[in-house]
Amino acid sequence: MGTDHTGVLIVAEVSEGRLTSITAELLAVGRTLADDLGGPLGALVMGGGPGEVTSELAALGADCVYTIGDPTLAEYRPEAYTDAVAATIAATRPSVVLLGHTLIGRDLAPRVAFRVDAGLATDCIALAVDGGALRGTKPVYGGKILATVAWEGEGARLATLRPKAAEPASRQPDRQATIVALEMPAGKPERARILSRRRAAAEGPVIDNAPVVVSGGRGLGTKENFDRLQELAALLGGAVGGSRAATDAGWITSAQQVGLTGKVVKPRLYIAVGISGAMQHMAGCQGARTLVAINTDPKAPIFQYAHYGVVGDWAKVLPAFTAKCRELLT
Amino acid sequence: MHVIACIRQVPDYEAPAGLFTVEGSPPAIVASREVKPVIGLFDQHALEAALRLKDAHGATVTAVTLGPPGAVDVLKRALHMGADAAVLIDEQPYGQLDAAATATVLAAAITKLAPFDMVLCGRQASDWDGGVVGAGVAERLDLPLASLVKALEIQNGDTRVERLIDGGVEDAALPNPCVLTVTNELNTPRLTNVKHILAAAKKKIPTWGPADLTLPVEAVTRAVRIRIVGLAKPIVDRRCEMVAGEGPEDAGTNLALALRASKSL
Repeated sequence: MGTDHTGVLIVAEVSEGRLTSITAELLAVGRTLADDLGGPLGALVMGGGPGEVTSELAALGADCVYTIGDPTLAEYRPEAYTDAVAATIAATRPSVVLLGHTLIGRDLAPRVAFRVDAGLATDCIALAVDGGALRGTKPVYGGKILATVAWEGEGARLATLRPKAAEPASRQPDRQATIVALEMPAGKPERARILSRRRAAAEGPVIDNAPVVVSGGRGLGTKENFDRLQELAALLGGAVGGSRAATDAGWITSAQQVGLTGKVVKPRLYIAVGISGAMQHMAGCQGARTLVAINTDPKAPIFQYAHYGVVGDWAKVLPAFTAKCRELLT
Repeated sequence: MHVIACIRQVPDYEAPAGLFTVEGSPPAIVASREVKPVIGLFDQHALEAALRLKDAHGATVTAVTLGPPGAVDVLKRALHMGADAAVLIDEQPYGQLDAAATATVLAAAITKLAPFDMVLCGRQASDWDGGVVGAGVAERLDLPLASLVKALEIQNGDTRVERLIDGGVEDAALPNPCVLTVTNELNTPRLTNVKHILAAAKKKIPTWGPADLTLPVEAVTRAVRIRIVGLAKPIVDRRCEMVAGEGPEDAGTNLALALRASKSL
């Protein structure tokens, strides 16, 4: 590890005043690495917000919570966040810096890595210390291959962690942390100026933490067909997702896309309809407790990952399946 | 207006996992012969975005790739789609490159292609899936960056983008020159066309090496921050219980019963 760098820093994500689920996962991985490397676990939280966030970070394992309460950081701004994280790394000199492989982390981590001249491994599914050195495991080639990576050079090592790849840290309510308030560094004026943010009106429940996800792919053929998944999802108290093909066809929004460049979901039940099972898609759903596939092609790769499979025309299988589910559940 | 599209040659990302193996020592990923080299998925969208700026604003489009000599094929394809010029940067003198070193080389090539107004990259390469190089090019060239761009237009000389954020989009304005990394939502890449194929036959694709870029090999080697120390095929040991019936409707009914029996429903 870098000579005078010690400990682990995680970059917390806060949404509507609460820590997001990736933050608890970062703290769990960070805690193990900090213990193995022999240093403290720090957490950086930007944008102020309620004090409960700092105590929650302590309860989830942080030894030290760094806060930058500047109101310009209340929502993610690429350039200001880059300045703030880079300044925190310079001030606290961590040996490892972890961010979530979320839409924020995907943008922020590369910017920070180049700013502080640190190695970055993105989308890691595991991080461990091996013989005193950090090793990351990262799916490549769309998940067809797993690569183990090592960091070179002095200074901090950066990684982004794939959501839901690690169990979240467990909560110890009485745990205390040192709170350190840091100043927002004087940055240059924003060059890529943010003009507005528009939240897409969600079509039904969001998939992120839904207990059941019903997903469709290219095999469904039309938007009308795709919309027939809604009935089953509503019946099971779940949400509708889809493959990249479904996003490209305009049947779903990007926020509902499951896979490598979409969301990672880990529901109790994942039902894939008309999805061939390309690795890019499986990267987002193979952690489901029960995975069900309905596909006309018996050779579709999805059946290698499914617990239950039906080979058949979804247009005939699905209505009967939905009807039987309704009967069993009411 | 001069737009530079950075594109990378990758093994066909749609090819099934079974056609890839890990072989040798140190281990390397070997694609079976039937896996065709293609332009990376998101890089195709970057190239298409550049060509649309040519259609709408008369931009000159240069396609750049860093790769082995064989990667000239993706540059030919870029010319066949309508790019005006293409440059191959030979990666061989540099040895194993990571994202940081790749950004160093691309930044040097882009500097040599100046003046330019915009650099377009895919959001991530379809082989290593890093999503790091675009930001590196911006940081090395000290240019404004927008990532995950899903809509793009030029307004009063500024670049206006919509970029993906959690649950929606963000509108941003960037002064040119700028660097954008793009997603598949941005556009649908065009096919090649006969007029461009004929025109391309007269175009030379130069190959640049360390001397052309005035970038010594040592400077690139020093920029490497990540090394691959192991490769393996993921183990999938799941056994799928196939549910059948007397026809598809019956199979659907039986699937519900099977899920109920295993308490999945």
